[in-house]
Amino acid sequence: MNILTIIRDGLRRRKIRSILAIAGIAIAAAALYSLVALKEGYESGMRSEIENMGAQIIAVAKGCPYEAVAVIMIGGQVPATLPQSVTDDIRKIPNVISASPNVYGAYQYLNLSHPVIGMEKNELDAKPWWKIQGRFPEGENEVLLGSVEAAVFSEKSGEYRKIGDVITVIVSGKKVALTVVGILGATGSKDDYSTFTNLATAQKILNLKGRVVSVSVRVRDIGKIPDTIAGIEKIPDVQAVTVAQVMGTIQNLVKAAQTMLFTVMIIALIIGGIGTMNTMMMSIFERTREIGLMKATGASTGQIFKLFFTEGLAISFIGGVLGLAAGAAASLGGDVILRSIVSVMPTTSVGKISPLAVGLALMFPVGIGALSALYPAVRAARLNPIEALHNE
Amino acid sequence: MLKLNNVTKIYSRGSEHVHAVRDLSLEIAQGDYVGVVGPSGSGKSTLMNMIGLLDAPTAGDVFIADRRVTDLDGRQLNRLRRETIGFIFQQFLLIPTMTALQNVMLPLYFAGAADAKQKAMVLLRRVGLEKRAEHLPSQMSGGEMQRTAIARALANKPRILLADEPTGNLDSKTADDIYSLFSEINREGTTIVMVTHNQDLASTFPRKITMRDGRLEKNEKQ
Repeated sequence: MNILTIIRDGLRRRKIRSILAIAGIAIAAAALYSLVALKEGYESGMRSEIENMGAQIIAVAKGCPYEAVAVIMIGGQVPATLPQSVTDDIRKIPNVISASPNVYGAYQYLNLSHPVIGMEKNELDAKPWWKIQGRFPEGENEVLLGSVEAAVFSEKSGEYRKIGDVITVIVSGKKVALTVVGILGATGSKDDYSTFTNLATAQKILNLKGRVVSVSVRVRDIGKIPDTIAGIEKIPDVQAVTVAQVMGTIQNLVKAAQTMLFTVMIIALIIGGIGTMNTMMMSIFERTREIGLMKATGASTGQIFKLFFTEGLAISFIGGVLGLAAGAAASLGGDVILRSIVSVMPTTSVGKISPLAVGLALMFPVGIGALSALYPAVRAARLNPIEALHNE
Repeated sequence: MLKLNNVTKIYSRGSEHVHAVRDLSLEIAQGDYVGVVGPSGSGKSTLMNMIGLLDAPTAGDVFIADRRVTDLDGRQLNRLRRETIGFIFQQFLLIPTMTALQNVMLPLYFAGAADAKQKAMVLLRRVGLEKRAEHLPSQMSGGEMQRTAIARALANKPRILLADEPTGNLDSKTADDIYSLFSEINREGTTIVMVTHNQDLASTFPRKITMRDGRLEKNEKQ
């Protein structure tokens, strides 16, 4: 018999109390884990998304630039468009390496809406990481499918099997036949869920002839971006935002959500801590006579303290580990939930296992559990054996 | 073995002072078997607590195994108590989450004794409970629980057993068995001091002490 068997048997034979105490800690650990993991996953996901965009500046029609950018990032109805000639105007501005006009829209297929993006072939230069199987869709009604779209279509549509097959989609109520001429290798970004075509085809099927939704601009010198933006905004009805600004705005929104989540987490930890403390206190009150007896049978103050403090640690640690497991599961679920709430989400799952989250989720609840166990353990150790023995 | 010289114990509750024990002197030799009787509030428990080193006298001296208790610090008291005294209570006070064996092992664990399990098994056999070793207190009868408690009290080979109404919660048949066990233990040389309400029983002990109002009223050898 050693201290651990004493504690293990004690916890096992006092099931309900042990389960309640462990659950209190586990909830706090789970909350902490999922919050940290989601935050980490979100930030790293968004960062890679920014890098994948390639451009530093996006020019759109005057209006709310963030609305336009949100449409670019997640698809949807475009609020306003620009004449295609703007692209050439932008290309003449100093410091501009490339200006890529884009058209965004969606088509219906297999009863689902799929984003479609129109682009010029030379935009491929800005996306060196793209690996195309087949070729770029230069011809009329030719398309390039993102890897996930291609996989889903070949599995479910029946009419599409391989490059060269034709799919019949619906755009604004009209049937359109599109020929798949290429498949984009997995990028780990939203591109995997998109369909690409040349600018002319996109303009035709989306009823946007001669118009573009945005122009993505790459610059030579990042330090001169303010001048470049000023140059772009001299063109009538055009405004420009930097990708960094857009991301900053999105991240601020996320930060606000995080502050709220952080508050929830603190509350969870406090409740978990108070719960543990309460459980430990109750457990000591219940066992006052046992403690008196232990003292009468020769237990020293230090031994009693060690026994009860270790029990508190054990509860906290078990709770922490269980909470971690629950938190890992919850953050995968949280990814799904967040996707339904936050409109701008990285394509990669934000619920991946993060060492930081694991560390925090173990250290904090265990630390709080240890603190909560400290006072009751000191109290137990200091009990007067006579009073303890006569406690009813 | 055990000596009290003019011992007084006063409990203070606010401005009220209670003389639990007044000027009591008493000597108990090794191997004595002493019954302590007296009405409630007569100071029996206070006397037992002082002998058991759980409480210190307000005045006077307590000697246990030739050591003056008032000279010892908490750590030394704890050690002396562990090595010299075994306690037995009316309510058995077994740890409910521990098996009989574990309960008996507990004092050995606190003492850091080697071979605790073997020693505890020997003790359980001594009180006739080897078959109950893996039972929890809730699975045992009152008599079995008290036997376990006696085995536990004997764990560190104490020279004195202090029993506070050890049969108060048992039927008379079981109580008789427990008394025989105590007699056996006493015959092997262990000093026993037992508080009881049972005057008839106390009269059968080799020595009977009667307490009244914190004083030693009678000290009879039979």
